[in-house]
Amino acid sequence: MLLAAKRALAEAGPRLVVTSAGETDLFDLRLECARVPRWADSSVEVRAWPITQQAERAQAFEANSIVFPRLSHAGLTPLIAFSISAKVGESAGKTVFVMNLSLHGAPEDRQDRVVRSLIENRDQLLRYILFLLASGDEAAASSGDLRKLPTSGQDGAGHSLPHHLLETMLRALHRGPAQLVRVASLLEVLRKEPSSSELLSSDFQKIWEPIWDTAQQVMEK
Amino acid sequence: MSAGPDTRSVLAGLKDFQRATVDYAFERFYGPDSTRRFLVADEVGLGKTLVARGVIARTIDHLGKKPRIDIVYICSNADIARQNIQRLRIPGCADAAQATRLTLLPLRMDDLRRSHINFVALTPATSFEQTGGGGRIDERVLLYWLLDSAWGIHGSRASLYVMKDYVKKTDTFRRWVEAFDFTQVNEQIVAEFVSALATRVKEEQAAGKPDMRERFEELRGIFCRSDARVPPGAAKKRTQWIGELRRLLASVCLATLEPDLIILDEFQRFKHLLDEESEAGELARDLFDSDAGQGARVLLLSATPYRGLSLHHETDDDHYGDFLALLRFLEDGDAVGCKEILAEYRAALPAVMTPDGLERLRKAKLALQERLQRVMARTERLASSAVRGGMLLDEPPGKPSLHARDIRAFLGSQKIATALDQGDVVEYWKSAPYLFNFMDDYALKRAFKEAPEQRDMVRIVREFPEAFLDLENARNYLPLEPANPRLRELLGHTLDRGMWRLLWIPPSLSYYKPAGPFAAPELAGVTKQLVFSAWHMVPRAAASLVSYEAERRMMRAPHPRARLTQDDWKKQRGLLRFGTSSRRLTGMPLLLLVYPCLTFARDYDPRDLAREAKLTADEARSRLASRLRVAIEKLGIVPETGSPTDERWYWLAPMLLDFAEFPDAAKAWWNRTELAQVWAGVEVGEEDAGWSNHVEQATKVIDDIRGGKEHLGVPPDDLFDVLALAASAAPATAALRAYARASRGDPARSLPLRDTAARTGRAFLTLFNHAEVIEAVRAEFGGEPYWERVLEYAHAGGLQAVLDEYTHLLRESLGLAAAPVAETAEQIGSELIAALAIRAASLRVDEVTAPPYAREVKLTSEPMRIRFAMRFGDDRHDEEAPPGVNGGPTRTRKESVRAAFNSPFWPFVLVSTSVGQEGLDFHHYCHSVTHWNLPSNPVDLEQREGRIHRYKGHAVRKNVAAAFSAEAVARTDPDIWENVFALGCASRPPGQNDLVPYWIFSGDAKIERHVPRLPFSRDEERLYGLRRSLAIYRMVFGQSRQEDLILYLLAQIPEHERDGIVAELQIDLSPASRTQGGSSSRETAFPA
Repeated sequence: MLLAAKRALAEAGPRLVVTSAGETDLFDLRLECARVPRWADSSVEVRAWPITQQAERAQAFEANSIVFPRLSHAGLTPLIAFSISAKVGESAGKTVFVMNLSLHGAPEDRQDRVVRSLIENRDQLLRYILFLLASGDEAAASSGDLRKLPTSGQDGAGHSLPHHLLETMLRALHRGPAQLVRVASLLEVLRKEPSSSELLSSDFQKIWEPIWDTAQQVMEK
Repeated sequence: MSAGPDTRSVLAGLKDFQRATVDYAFERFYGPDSTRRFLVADEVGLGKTLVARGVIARTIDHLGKKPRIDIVYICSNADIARQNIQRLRIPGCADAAQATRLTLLPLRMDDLRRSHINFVALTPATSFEQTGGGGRIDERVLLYWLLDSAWGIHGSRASLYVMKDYVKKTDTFRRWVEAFDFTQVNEQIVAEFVSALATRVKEEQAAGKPDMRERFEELRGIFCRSDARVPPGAAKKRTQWIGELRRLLASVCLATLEPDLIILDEFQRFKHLLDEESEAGELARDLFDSDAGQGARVLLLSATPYRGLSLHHETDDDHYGDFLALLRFLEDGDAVGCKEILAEYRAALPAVMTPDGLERLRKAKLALQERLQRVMARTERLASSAVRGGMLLDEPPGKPSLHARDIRAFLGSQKIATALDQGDVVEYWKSAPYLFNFMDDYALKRAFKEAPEQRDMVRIVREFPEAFLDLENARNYLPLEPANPRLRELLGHTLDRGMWRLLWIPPSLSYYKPAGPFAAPELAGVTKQLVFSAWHMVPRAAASLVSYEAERRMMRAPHPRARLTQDDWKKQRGLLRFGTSSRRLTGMPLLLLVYPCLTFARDYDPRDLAREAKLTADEARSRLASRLRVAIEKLGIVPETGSPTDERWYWLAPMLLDFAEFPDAAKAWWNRTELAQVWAGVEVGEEDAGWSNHVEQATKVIDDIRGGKEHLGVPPDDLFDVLALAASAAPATAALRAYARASRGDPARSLPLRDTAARTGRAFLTLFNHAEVIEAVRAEFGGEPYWERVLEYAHAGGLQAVLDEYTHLLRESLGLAAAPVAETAEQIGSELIAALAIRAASLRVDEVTAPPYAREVKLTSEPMRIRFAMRFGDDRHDEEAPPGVNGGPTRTRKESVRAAFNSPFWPFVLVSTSVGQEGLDFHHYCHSVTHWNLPSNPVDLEQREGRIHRYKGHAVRKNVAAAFSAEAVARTDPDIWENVFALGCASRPPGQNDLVPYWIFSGDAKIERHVPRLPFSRDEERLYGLRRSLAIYRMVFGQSRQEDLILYLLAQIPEHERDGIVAELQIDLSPASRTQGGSSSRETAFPA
């Protein structure tokens, strides 16, 4: 029954639409379906919430749309968590899963704003770069996985925890320039911030620039 | 006639804390409740060898009436043996026997029983560890003749075939055998060997085994002819048989010794000798436990008697196990009770931040301290302080920079490695540029050479030229891209500062303000550079590329854009030649450089000028010129009127002055029939073809002029200016002054002293005749003739002060304090000449090319000269030079390189693998270390830096001179450096010992620690970890799993309290602390 409900949800063609919440930098996120999903049984209960939010903020998905109000840039995400529960006689079942939905009407700089809000200090930047170099998964930027990275990179003595950033960059370059392109895009975003010079230290530039120059040469060929 | 051992001067020459250690060790050896084994564990660079010498002196005094005293010195290799034997010498004793193999003792110990004091130097590898191998050819020759004494084997070719072992040509071995002089073999050892052999044969017969004789005959049967068909395994059997014979001889030689004092120097390198379980340990044990006389005393020397800190991955090192094993050896027991003290200390560590916990730790520390003081002593500089008595400069300015070309080089190298399935090259790439050019026996290089798919290699070599050295550029003296950030940084603080403009390190104490390149602001405070790397290819790459760049800049100095090739270098002949042109002797003016002028030395000494005023080089020259004008005029030589300018004045003037001022000495010099030969020494080269003609001509002209048969023409206009330069800095004259000061001799009364100075002058010609030197000197001082520019350069560089400083150091390091004048001058001169004349090594690198249409990569071996920067200890063959038939080993390349680095002359950069890390000195002209690759253990970091932070090191001398030079020049002691340090001693605050000023003296000069690393690299993290461990590792002394404890303590103890707690818990093993409650230096039980 749970499987059937899941299938019904997918077939209903869910999508996300972003509209202004009437205040600067706050948005309403509407989950809507092209068709009203038909559940096989009345005991089926479907709840949904953006994965950037706590599960407690889940809403019942009863009609063909629900609205998650007053979300920030970071709160906007194409990833929506669904929980489907159902009862058959005495036995009850429940499943939780995430769908990556199309997102319409989101502000163009949403990704950048997300990145900028997540990267508050140099250590977080380095960790994020390492993350990009290691995973290369673009969706991760919006998924909230970054929160799993330690927020404090200090060991109490003011020294960053291990990075091996130089070596990682070189190895990434050898594999191909794609992952470095992602880092370059990130840096591009960060440079727009007034505090970028604090994040992008001259020491960082010393290693990044020659590596990026080389990556660009490789791409030109 | 010898007056016996001069132990008093030895003891008087010790620094106060060294003397305290000597007395304490002696008291523990021969006083109440004595021990027979004692460890001196002074920190690196504090003169443990001198302490050992003091203990020898006191032992000799104590055992004075004993008819025979045997001192056995054991150290890890022949290099250290040769360095330290000089330093251990007791004046008045016959020369030390320098056997470095036990089995060669019969040749060295001429008359063991009749000598009063015998000194035997051994190395474990060649004396105790008879591995069953056939040994060296000279050992087998000795065994051959010993066997002949026992069994009469001579005359049979089969005997030669057996004893030659793996020597290919029997004739070679036969020649060695024939050349051997058996009369020099100690008779007692021969007799005892013959007897031991007979006993062995009987024992084997009794045991029903084939005896040695029988097996020898069997071998003679097998190897009966040169073309004999030898069954499989026979050659091995032969080697094993010879190995048995070597072991027998070793045990006979050991039994012949009656050691009173055995010194184990840096014994941690051969600590297996302390382990009686091993065969080597068993042999050694017999020696250590010898009861001859009052019984052997064993003095162990080591700054790191056990690993100060062992990390998890260092499976070969176990601090805890090592420490207990050492204690068991020293106490000759089972270290009972010690484990309990250490366990109590460990148990208290978790509560270190509580008053009770700290109190428990204090008690445990005191208990351990008391226990250890019975068998060991240790003195340290301010080792608990991270800044080493204010002298450490961590991170001098300058960081390596990364270029896109470097990254391209990485990509190319990595692509090759990946194609060959050779893994990751990041660490290689960080360490050295041009991996495939400089790697030799690396798996990656082998795979590259043997790559089955050459098309890939050709493509990558073409696509990534940045990864390969462009030797075509090198052939045309064009710049070579460093291609490596670490190399770029090294170039930055050496050649980019202009060090290539210097032929010697400027004096630490100048008599006048230097000029020319020596006054360049960017070269202020210059010092040599010692580089340590863990990788074998680094010394090759760094020495080649830095040397090339120095040579390139010098060659291009006068004409940066000119067309120039290495062929031009080859074609360039020395300009300072004693040649002949159209029957005219062209080198006569050079006599001014190589004639040691007594008058110049005495009356025109630049040091005397310093007493008058602070002068510039020009002012000093002018003053000397004015005085010389008066002196020359006083000679009363009337030039022939109307004659042309007579250039003979230049070289004749000093000689004529000597005839006027020192008539007897001048006659003694010139009246020698063999003058040309004595003056030249053995170094007569191609450019010296006309040398004897020049000397004859000089002799004749002097005679003619003095006899009135010939007259001089009009003097050149610049005569007095040129003579002033020569009086100040002509090499032979400057050397004469320096040798006279160092030897306390009167040069007018010592022909040998003058001869040595003259030979030194000639060695300087070799230096100034190098093609690149000619170009560099001409670029600094334009104009002809070149020999005048050489004088100008020498004067600008304060050559006199340079030689005074260097000879002061040599006199001490060669142990010549009490040596006669001629010997002092001779030995110092030999060392100086060797440093000046060290040959450039030629290093083979692979040129890698993929020419158009080539189907495979081409590798061609090409030579690169290394002179400015050299490598150290990178070649197995350097270990020991082959000996002459009956002679001792000659100086190895490694020793020559070290000696040259310890001189003010080139090389200015020395790149070493870990072999240079322990036991050897590099501090005379170097106070800057580059940790090219970081060691994983902080103790290694301190060991490396300990190589240059030593007695009277370069930084210390600069600082002491800066403080006291004005007062020192006013004093009359001939050796100005004695004055400087005496002033330093007199001015130190009360309570300080001799560590100040000889080891520690704060000032602008620092012990520089360079760690060239890129930002955000793994190396940065490692350095951070090392620094943290350095601050605290001494707290986990005597414990197992130290790394975990350190991490725990770092988390527990707040940073601001660490120094205080560490200091409080350090174990004080200084002799002084027992009576004075501590001294200014920090003394602990923790190795550094």
